[in-house]
Amino acid sequence: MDTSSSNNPNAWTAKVLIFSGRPDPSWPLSETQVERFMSLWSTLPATTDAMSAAPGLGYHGCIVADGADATWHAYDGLVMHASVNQRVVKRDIDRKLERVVISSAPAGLLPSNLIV
Amino acid sequence: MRDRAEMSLKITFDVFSGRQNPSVLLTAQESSDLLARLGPVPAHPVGAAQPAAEVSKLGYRGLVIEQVQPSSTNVPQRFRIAGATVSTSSGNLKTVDSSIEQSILTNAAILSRAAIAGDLANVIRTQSAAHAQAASTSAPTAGSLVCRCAPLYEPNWWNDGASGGAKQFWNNCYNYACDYRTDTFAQPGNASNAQWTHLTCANVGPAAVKDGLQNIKITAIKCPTEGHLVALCMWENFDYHWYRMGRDGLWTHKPGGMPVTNVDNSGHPITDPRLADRGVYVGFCGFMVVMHGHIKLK
Repeated sequence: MDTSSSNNPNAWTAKVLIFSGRPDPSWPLSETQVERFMSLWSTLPATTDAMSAAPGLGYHGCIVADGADATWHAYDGLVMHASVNQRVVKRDIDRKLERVVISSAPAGLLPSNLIV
Repeated sequence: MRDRAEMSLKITFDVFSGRQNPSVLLTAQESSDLLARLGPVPAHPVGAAQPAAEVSKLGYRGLVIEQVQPSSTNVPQRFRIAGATVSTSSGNLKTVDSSIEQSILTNAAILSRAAIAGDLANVIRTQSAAHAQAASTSAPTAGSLVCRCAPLYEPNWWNDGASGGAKQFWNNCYNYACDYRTDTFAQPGNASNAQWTHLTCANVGPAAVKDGLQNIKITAIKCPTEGHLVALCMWENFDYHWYRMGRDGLWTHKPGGMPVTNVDNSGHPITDPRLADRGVYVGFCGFMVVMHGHIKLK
């Protein structure tokens, strides 16, 4: 996996896909948060499952972006990593990675109980 | 009108012959929305004598609406909605938009709480549609309206996210509802330096008026003389959402940077945003009219 973009962790951001009128909330990730995210990502098993379609309104996952060309979209037990060169889907058992991303948000930024 | 707003209603799906009919208790908000759609309902038939409206037949016969608590004198204690007709055992009370019944019959949340499974729901909807087709009524049916000034449903024009376009990601529900592309995720009031400051109906609605949208008070959905209808909904203190009525009388919307869609959160076509499955956007603020060329968004 190409992790060259992690050389600049200050550029990493997370965003929750949730709002319709307002821009979705986003925040920068610290180096520690990036390391935790990448460490967990590396342990997830690959799958051929396809991401499920979320309901139109309301929460439909979170996205981590490395500030270059790579993104990770986590929702409902799957994480899709996309970059210029590859597209990989992994199984996020118990939505652990998704919860890690959400828990990295500054206090008060997100509505509570996004993932029940 | 205060007691109307606080009243709870019970809906009984009058369909069975031997078994007890399924029923559901509406929330105060749902009750209020339903009453708003129905408009004033006289307690008794008015004018010339009316035929007895409570039909005796097998299969789906309509929705029986009953007041639960507290009671109100503004609507009958118990009445029936079947197609475009509101009635009691003494006769027909008024004609309404038949989409009211359809909205309830396609509301997944209400059907679920009434423990009406998919197969039964399909049967009820099929029989209701057959009755409506057979009925010789002049009441308008949402979906059969032709609003000549309303925008067409053109999802392919907006949904360019997969091809890397900007329209989908940078235009939100407000842009789409107003049919006004800015590529800025436009915010109500922003174009007139009066952007919303609180995520409430009382704040976002007037901000949209600053952009040129016009408030309109209606109960039954109909085409405006000019422009097109939009509807504002609220996730109190978190976000707002807009729908727009298209040329065919059906409603469509764009959830944020997601693709444009013509179905609600339960996957059903939207005949009335007040009764659609709106997820967490449970507050319904009201309707507005977008006069084309008279608004400015930013």
